[in-house]
Parts: sequence; C-alpha cells; structure tokens
Amino acid sequence: MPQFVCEQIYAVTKGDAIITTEVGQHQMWAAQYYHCTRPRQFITSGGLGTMGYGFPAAIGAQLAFPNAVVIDIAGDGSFQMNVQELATVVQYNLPVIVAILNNHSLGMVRQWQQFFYDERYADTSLEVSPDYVKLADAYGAVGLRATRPEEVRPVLEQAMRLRRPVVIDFVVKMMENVFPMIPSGGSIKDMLLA
Amino acid sequence: MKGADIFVESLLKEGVDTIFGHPGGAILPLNDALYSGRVRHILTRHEQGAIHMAEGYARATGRPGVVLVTSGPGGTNVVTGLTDAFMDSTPVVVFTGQVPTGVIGNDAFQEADIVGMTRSCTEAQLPRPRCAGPGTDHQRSFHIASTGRPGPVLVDIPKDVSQAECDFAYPTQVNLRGYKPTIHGHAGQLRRATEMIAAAKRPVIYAGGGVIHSRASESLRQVAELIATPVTNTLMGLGGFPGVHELWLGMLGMHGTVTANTAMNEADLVIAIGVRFDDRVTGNVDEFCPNAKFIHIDIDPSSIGKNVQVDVPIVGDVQACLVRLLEELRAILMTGVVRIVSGWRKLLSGSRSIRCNTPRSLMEN
Repeated sequence: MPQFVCEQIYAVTKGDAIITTEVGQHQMWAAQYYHCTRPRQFITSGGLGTMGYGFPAAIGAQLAFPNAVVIDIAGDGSFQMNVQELATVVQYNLPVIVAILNNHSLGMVRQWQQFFYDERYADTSLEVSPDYVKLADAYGAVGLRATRPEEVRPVLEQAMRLRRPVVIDFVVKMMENVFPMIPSGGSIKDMLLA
Repeated sequence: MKGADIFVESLLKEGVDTIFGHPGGAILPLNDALYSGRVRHILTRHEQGAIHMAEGYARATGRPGVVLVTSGPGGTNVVTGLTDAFMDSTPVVVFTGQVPTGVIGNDAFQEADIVGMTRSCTEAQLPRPRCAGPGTDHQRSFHIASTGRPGPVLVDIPKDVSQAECDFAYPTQVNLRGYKPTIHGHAGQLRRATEMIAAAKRPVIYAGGGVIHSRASESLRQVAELIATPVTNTLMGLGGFPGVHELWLGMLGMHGTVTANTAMNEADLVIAIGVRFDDRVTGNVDEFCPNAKFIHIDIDPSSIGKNVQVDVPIVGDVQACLVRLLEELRAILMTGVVRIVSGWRKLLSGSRSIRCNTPRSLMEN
C-alpha cells in the first residue's frame, strides 16, 4: 500500500522532515498523509505539475539545510525524469533520501484511464523499468528495497541512519487509487470515495 | 573590473552562498570567475536539474535560488523550471550565457532567443546588451524575483559583455519605475472584511502558498484561533497552518478531504488568503461554494476576480494584511460581536467521520 509507506515516512521522521515530491499519485498521498506543521516543509510542483521536480528540489533543500532529513517522495515515472542528478547528490555527498512508490506505471494517468477511459490503459505501463537498487549502486548511492509492509519501517530507519544518498524502491500495488477524488470540472456532489 | 567579476561581486552583495548550474561556451567566463570558490557552484548533470534545485533551495529558505547556464540548449533546458517557478511563485534568478553581441541574430553556434522564449514564463527578462550598469541589472533581478508576488527572472549575458572591462557600482537602493507592489491592504476593505467575518455563521479560511511566501503562518494561526474558524490549505499552502491543529480541515480540492470540501460547500463566508482559485481547487466554478461570500487577500491584483468573483478584494502582502485584520478583529471582539458558532463546528466534526479507506484499515482487512 503506497499510502502506508507515506504514513510510515511520517511516523519514522516524527513529522519533522523536509518533504519534496514529484508529480502524480504519490504526490497526493504525500500531501494527505504527511501532516506538515511548519512552513517551507512541503516542497512540491503545484501549478505546472512538473514530473522530475522533486529529486533536484530535495537536493536544493538539503544544500540549504545540511542537517535536515530531506525525503523526496517519488513515483517511478517521475524519478526517471531527472535521475541523472544521482551523480550530483553523490558528488556532494548529500544525505537525500528518494522514496520511490514504485507501481510500475504512470499511476495518476492510469487512474484517470480506469475511471474515465473505460479501463483502456494506453501508454501508462512502465513494464520495462530499471532495477532501482542497482541503479543507485551504479551511481555510488545506496539502493534499498522493501516489498512487504513489515519491511517498510526498518528500511526507512536504515536509510535515515546512513546519512548518505539513498534510493529506496518501495514496490507497491499498481491498481491503487487516490481518494477522495472530485473529477475534473465536477463539484462536491461528484466526489468519489472509493 | 571584468563583467564576470562583477557578476561574482554582485552575488556576494546579494548574500548568495550557493548557485546551481552547468557550464558551456558562452557562460564560461562566469564559471571561470567562480573558480575562486567565493560562491559555491553546484555542478548539476542537466540544466533542468539546476533550476529545480534552485527552486527547492528557494522554497526551503525563502531566498532566491540562483542558476547559471549557458546559451542555446542551456537556456532552453531551463524553460520548464522557469514556468514551474512562475506558476508556483518561487523566487529564482537565472543567468544565461548568450553568444557575443556582434553575432546575435546570425544563428551563431548555441544561439537561442531565450529572452523572447521566456517572455511569458518570467516576471522580467533583463538582456544585458552592453556593459553599462551591470550591478544595477543584477540588483533589479533579485529585487523583482523576491518582492511582490515572487517569481523567476532571467538575465541574459552575451559573452563579450562578461569579458569586457566595466565600472562596478552596486546601487544601495532599487528604483524601478512601474514596479511598486502594494503591501498594505486598503483600510476600508479590511474594515468591510472584519464586518463580514463578524456576521458570518459558517466561515472557512482557505489559505494558500501566499501565506508561506509572506511569512504569515503565525498571523494566520492567530486569526483562525481568534475567530474560531476552521482552516483548509491548498497543496501549495501545506505547512502554512499546523497540519495537526484542531481547526485544520486538511487539503481541499480534487484530492482534498471530505471535511474540507464539505466546509467550503456549506460555508457562508470564505476567507481566501494567498490563493488563486486554481481549477484543481474549485472544480466547476458555478458550483463552487454556492452559499458563500468571498474575502480575497492577495498581493497579486491579477489573481483577484480571475476565476471567481469575490465580494471583498484586498490587494496587499498577506502578512501586512493579516496584522491589520487582527487589530480590527480584536477591536470588534472587545464588543463581543464575534462568537464561536458551535453548530458549524459540530457539522464539520460530523463530516470528519466520513472518510475513504485509510491505509491502516486496508492493512487490517
């Protein structure tokens, strides 16, 4: 469950981390489950919706606050859009944590296809994807993976202890959707809860 | 002093400690001037990475993020980031290299009309065709990026300009004709807003990124607590009000909470603060907050009445306006006009029990 990962990130960091996000389902789950208590704690691409924003934004935030815990809550689609900055994060040895909620798809678009396009999943499957643990390793960062709920917390705790660049591959359910949802152009009476 | 050295001196004058960039031919004199290490240059692997890093830096600190890229593809690769910063009001100053002035317009190697291309996604573009007053340009770029409604500014520097000998003077004051953001809200409008708040039975505060940009979180909390009014945040406003506060309703809009959207739907007064009524918030504007009057506080007059007509527009800096609003509200509270509307609180706490599947409950199933 991707939402469970966001809840655990909130719990393990005690709500005190700087959170950046990419754009898509993971972004909404981060917004819903990470309860920010201070300004400048939640850094996301709102208006333009730029996939690939969160990882470099996390690097910028980490450079400004070297001692902070900075976590990019990412999707596998978005992370690949600026993945080359793994070299930057390793070169400057920044302890940025990238938490990929990996559903092997462009999840938010897939969700719209499910609801509004008769489940015709055109061009949203990321069935060919890199092995993110090996990819992190190739750049000299640390790659970790969690595939079961009970692994989520220990992996996060390990990532926070390392104080090195870390990429965590959280393998999550592909067909999970973001709720509540008011379809585009609708109003509260159109709100979907499940 | 060389143009490139003036660039570094000017960064220091602005208190910049870190910049993000990727080198190339046309910008090389500036990278060379940075070799001294007086300003830390973070070498990124792509210009888009550089500008998003600058945005992250700016959003985390409140100070402008600075980017240094070359001409041509260096410039075009930051256009997405400029547009992103423009939409989210993030203060960023981008310095692009440009081919030497003598060959501009000749399709020179790595030439692109970056000033023309970025006209619609920056607050200002400062082409620097000559050596005169580079300090002034530099200061203006930071001033425009970080004051008023913040946003991105692009400074385009031809290679011959960064290599030329220029006189360096850094002005102590900025004076830009036609650029005077309104800081203080209109006193009469603030009084009207106060009266509407006092008369409201089901008020909601709808607060956005403007609260964070103007450092008004504490004032927002004071206003909300004083008038016992629930608060919902936009995506950009998260963290501008404590996400664990009993008056917090959660995020609103397309993926907002049932409580927040119910509150907006039922409200008789929406106090919109540092927001722009984005379509991901309003949905169908004809059915948005059907029972409400609107107070809208924002520093950008072009955001007011753009998507939704409001009853009391207040143009000004959010923090300055909230400080004045607090004074007005406290004066009224002395006379006991404002009271906690208990039925409203009850209705909202009822809707809190309506929720979609939470991860915990799903895990347990």
